[in-house]
Parts: sequence; C-alpha cells; structure tokens
Amino acid sequence: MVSKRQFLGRRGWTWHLLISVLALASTACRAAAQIPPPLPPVSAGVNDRFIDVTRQAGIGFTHQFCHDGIMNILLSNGAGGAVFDYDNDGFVDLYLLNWGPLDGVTKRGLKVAREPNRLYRNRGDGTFEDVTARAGVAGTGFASAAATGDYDNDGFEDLYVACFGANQLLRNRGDGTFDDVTTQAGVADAKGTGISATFLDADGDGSLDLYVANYLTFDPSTISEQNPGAYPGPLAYPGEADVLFRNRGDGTFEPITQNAGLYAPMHRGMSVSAFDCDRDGDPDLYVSNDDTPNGLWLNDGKGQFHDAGLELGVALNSIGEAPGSMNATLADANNDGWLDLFVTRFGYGSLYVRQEGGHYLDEMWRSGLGRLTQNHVGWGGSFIDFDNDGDPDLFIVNGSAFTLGGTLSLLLENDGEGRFSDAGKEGGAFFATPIDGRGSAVLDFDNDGRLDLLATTLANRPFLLRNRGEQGSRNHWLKLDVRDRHGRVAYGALLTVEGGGRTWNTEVLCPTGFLMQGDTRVHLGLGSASKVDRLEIRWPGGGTRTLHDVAVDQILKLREPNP
Amino acid sequence: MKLLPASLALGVVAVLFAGCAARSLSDKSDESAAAAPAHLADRVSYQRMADGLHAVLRAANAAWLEAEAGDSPVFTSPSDFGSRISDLNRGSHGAFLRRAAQEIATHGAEFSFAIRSPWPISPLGAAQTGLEEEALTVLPRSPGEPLFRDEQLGGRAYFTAVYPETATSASCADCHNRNTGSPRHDFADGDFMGVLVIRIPREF
Repeated sequence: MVSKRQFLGRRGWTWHLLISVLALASTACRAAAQIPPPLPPVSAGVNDRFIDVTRQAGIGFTHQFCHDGIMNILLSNGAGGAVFDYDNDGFVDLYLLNWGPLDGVTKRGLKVAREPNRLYRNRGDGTFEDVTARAGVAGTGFASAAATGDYDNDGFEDLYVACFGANQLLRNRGDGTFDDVTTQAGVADAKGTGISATFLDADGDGSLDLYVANYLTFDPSTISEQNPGAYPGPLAYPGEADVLFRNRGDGTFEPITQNAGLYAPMHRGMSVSAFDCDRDGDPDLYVSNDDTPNGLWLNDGKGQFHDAGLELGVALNSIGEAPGSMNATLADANNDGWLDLFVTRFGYGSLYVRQEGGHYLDEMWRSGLGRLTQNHVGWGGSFIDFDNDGDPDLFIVNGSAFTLGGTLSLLLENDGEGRFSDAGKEGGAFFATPIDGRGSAVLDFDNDGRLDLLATTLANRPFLLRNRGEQGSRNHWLKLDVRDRHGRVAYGALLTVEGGGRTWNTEVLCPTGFLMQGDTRVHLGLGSASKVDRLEIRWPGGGTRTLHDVAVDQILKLREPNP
Repeated sequence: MKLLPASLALGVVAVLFAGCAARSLSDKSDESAAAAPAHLADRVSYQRMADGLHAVLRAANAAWLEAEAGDSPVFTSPSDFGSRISDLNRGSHGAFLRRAAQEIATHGAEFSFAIRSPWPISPLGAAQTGLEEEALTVLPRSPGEPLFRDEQLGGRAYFTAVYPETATSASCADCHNRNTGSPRHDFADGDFMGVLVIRIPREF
C-alpha cells in the first residue's frame, strides 16, 4: 500500500493545507457577505422625474446592521428618522437613526462600537453638512423612529427618539445644540420596545403630549414551531402596551395611558399617526399593529379615548385578517374632503376611504392598489402629490422581511378619484433599483415647490430623491408653514383651500411614513388653479382665519394670532 | 477516504458545518417524531386544515339558519316579511359571518375567512382580490367543487381555499330575493350564491 506521504509528496501537502484554509476562510466570509455593500448612486435617465442626489447632497450615512442577515423579528424592522427645521432657517434638515450592537438581538460576541445617529443641516444650496457632534445628537441605543415637536413652547422643534430600550428626549436649545432631558422629563420608557412616536395635544391644554408605540417583548430563546427555517412571527411574543405621556407644562411628563382609555397590552405597535379623524377639533390616533387589529382611538376632546377601529372598518384588511401593519399615511385620496388612510403591510394592505356617516370602506382592490402591491411587502408608504395636479399619489418602499436582496419601490399615480396606476417609469431609474426599503418621508428640501422623497433601508444607505419635475408642467402649488401662537408647528389645524373651481380639505399633521416623520409644512398641488380664492384655517385652540386671493407658487407662513 | 488528508477533510467538515449553522433553528419535532409510533400523524396539510375550518363554518351557518330563520322560513305576508327582514338584516348571514371573522382575527387566529358573491348586498361581500374574482367566475361552472390555490398578497404567501356557497334552504333564496339591496331577485333553492374563502398564511 502506498503511504500518504509517498502519495502526496511535500508540494501536495502544501496545496491541501492551502485549500483547507481557504475553505475555512470562505465560510466566515460567506456569512459576512450576506450583507450587501452600500449601493452606488443611481444614474438617472434624461426624463427621470426623481434623481438620487444622496451623495452629492453630502448624506454619507449607512445603517449599521450587526448580524449576518435578518435572523430575528427585531432585525427585520429597520431604522428611520425625521425631517424637521431644527434651526428655523426655513430649510428642512434631516436626522437619521442608527442601531449598533444589542445583546440578544445582534450577533453574539461582536465587538463593535455603535455608529451614531446623524443630523444633517440643510445649507439651502442643495447640500447638507453633518452637524451631529456639534449638536450633541449622536444618540444611544437601538434607535427605531423619531418624532419632532416643540414640547416646551420655546419656538424650536425638539426631538424624541423611540428605541428598543430607553428612548430619548433631546431638547432643542435654539442655538444649534440639543440637551438630553430624558430623565428629568420622565419619558425614557426604558422597558419598552419603542418603534414609533408622535407629539399631539391630547387634552387641548396648549402643551404637546407624547404618544409612544411599543412593539413586543422579544425573547431570543423563542423558536418557531411552524417554520423551523425562519424566525418566529410576532404572535410568538407577548405584546407591549403603548404609552401616552401627558405634558405637565413644566418640562416634565406623566404616563396616563390607562386613565386616558388607551391601555392595550396585547397589541404589538408598529407606528402611530395623529389626525383629527372626525374634524371635531381634537387629535385622534391611528395605531398600526403587527398581527393584531389596528386601533382608531377617538378623542372626546378632553383626552379620553376609545377604540372605534372595528366599528369604523379600519381594524382589519378586506380579507378579514390583521396581518403586520407597518404604518398609515393620510390624505384625501378621492378628493371628497375627508382624510383617508393607506396602510402598508406584510400581507394585504388597505386603502380605507372614509364614507358618509364616518365609517371607512377598504378599497384596496377597487383602487387598483391590490394588484399593484401584490408581490411586495410594503414598509414605508407616503402619500405625495408628486406632479402637483391636486390629488395625492403614493410612494411605497418595499423589502423582504426575511432576506436582504432588494425589492423595487413603487410610485403610483392617482387619477383624482382614488384609482392608482404604476408611474415607476416616469419616476425614473430609482424605481428600477432593488433596495431593502424601510422608512419613507416626503419633504421639499430645496423649497422649489416639487415634493422630494427620503427613504431609509435596512443595512444600507438612505436615498434622497430630488423631484426635478416634468418639463413644461404648468401645475401650481402652495406650501403653508402653519404655526400656532407659540411658534410651534400647529398640529391639528384644519385647512380649507378653494381655487380653480376645486376645494381641498386638509390638516397640519405630524406626518408618519414608517419609522420616519416627514416635512410638516402643508403642501398643496393646485393643478391649473392660478390663485387660491379662499384659504380658511381653523386653529387647534379655536378661532379661524380666512384669506382671499392668495398667490400660488410660494411658501406662505401663517401664525395663529395671540388672543 | 483513507487517502484523504486530515486537513482537507477538516475543511470539508467546516464548510458543511457552516451550512448547517446558517439555519436559525433545529427541528426538535423530528427527534420526538422519530420516537413516536410510525402510524401517528404529526402534521396537518393546509388543505385538510381548510376543509376542517369549512366544516365548522358550514355547521355554524346551519345552526344560525335554524335559530334565526326557522325551519320553514316562508314569509306569509309583506308585514311578516318586513319585520323578519329587519331582524335578519341586523343579524344577517353575511353580517354574522363577518362578525365571527372579526372576532377570530382579534384573538390572534392564524387564518381568515370571508364570504363573497357576484351579487353582494354589502360592498364588503364583493371580490377583494384577483383570485376571488376568478373563483366567482369559475366555481359556478363546477358545482360543488372547491378551488385550492397558492396566493400572494402584499408579498405574503397564503394557501387559499374557495368553497362554493349555494342556497341550501328556501330561506336563503327568499331572503336575498326580497332584500331591496340585493342586485338579484331571482334566486332559487340550490342556486350558486357565492363563495366562502379561507386563507391560511404560510409566512409569519
């Protein structure tokens, strides 16, 4: 028999050792290679409406993803941020959130430092500068979503960051810096799996209160009994109650969830939207939940809520289930004067169109949206009148809940009556680029009257998409920067605009697009209307103001008069 | 095998182990199944689950008909019809099933069901997906035959079962014929009236 030594010889041993080492190394690299590298800039076609300006604008952010893939449900959601004008210079700035390592969630034994959240100050020339360190907003923890609101009535928008673990309240000092006042304000909610938040004046006392949506209580030792090849779904974990913090008016908050009638411990919140559903002058809440019915919490005007979701037809989708709802975006989809809701889902989404009498009908199929979204798991969904023709279109970022490989985003055009068609070709090359989409926001970062888009992704870079419009378009617009008597964004102000024979009813909203808050200025596409005949504002604190013959194609600042 | 150098074998084993380690879970049920008597079932197929749910819903529907509409639900006069219809509309067959479906969804059931018809009294009873539209066209031509299909909605995979619903008693046809909201008023006993759709998600 030939011995091994004689068979291989010295050179043979060397080659076999090398091959073995390479095999070992490739297994480690293969695991790491499941995270795609940051996507390069998307090259725009000549006729593309939206162009990727992320890099040239100076947004050099990458979402930190500390694992080899989407290994559990918490890693499937992503991180977002907020669009807000932190320095009151008239140009919206961007705040993007990051994750970092988290015991029991991210890869065991990984020794990496957390990458910071980043604040990008808009220079007003199409570029941004990273002012994170100067502003003191690097943040901590596993950040999910951000909301902004002037909770201390000093005229500067403050920041609240919802995290898995302790949340953060960052008070805007007004000098370009922020102060972490979480502990003294009492809004950490440290045991919660924070995933969304919104500011609203729930009890009408003139101070902004804070609603935080919590997801579920994650246990890394839970395994799925049904599909061993995938991580357990949301029903494998207990839900967590959301929290309503009442602003005492002295810089501190108190949790009043149960007293307010909002306590729902079995729900698994994904996002919260505040709007005046019944136009009775107080903010109501729509909470999107994962595998439990969504809630439409109606406010009695004194800060007492009850859930009318099932009764009004917005709790379940049209096939009778309560699948994972990501967020609700709000707009008057059929131009009948009432706000409707589009809900993105892991599963069949919904277009809830408000009917006479106050209930909603889910027109997902009739609107064409059922067919258009059939193959996509929708995450961030945002209404946007991208062509200023006076009706709200839709932008949806999509992505797999299980793998990182990219899915196409959708740009869907409204025909004015709540029927949608695919406008991706007009949208441009971005809509032919697969991304792992998560958060979405609408903004006008260059104040040119054409609405732009911001999308965040899982484990990759964000996309800032500038809307360069359509050549020869003669559609007009009006942007309203509505502030209350304290100088705050006047959340809850109701607006009626008439021009060119048409009427628009809308509201100053804290606009949510899954993990993201968008530009709070109210943008109206006016179509061919060359002036606004009448503009009425009904202020949250009561009182109205009416303007006539308002010029179009401008940003109009409106401030509630002092009493 | 005797001639494979140990280092190469180590590399092969490492590759195989990495492949196994990429799986997030091990299936403990395989271990227990191996010990159990071979004739015991350890899983239920999607179709069998859908058939079981259908059987439950049909039984509930029959019980409702008996309790609400009576054994011989013939309306003897317009006033009798009027009072019975108003009672039935509050707790009509469609409303009853929708209420049950809502209740089930509220309690975390991992399936859903709905009734659909080409002639819905309520807009909630109209087809809501492409497959439902197709079923409402195909099933009347194949009396008694259900339809089973894999369906994708909003990026999520479902097993969808569609069962034909016929007028199983005189009250079914009569109630729909006399309802002013019905788009059709000529149903007869045994006619195809719509479908019951049961969906079971395959991703969670």
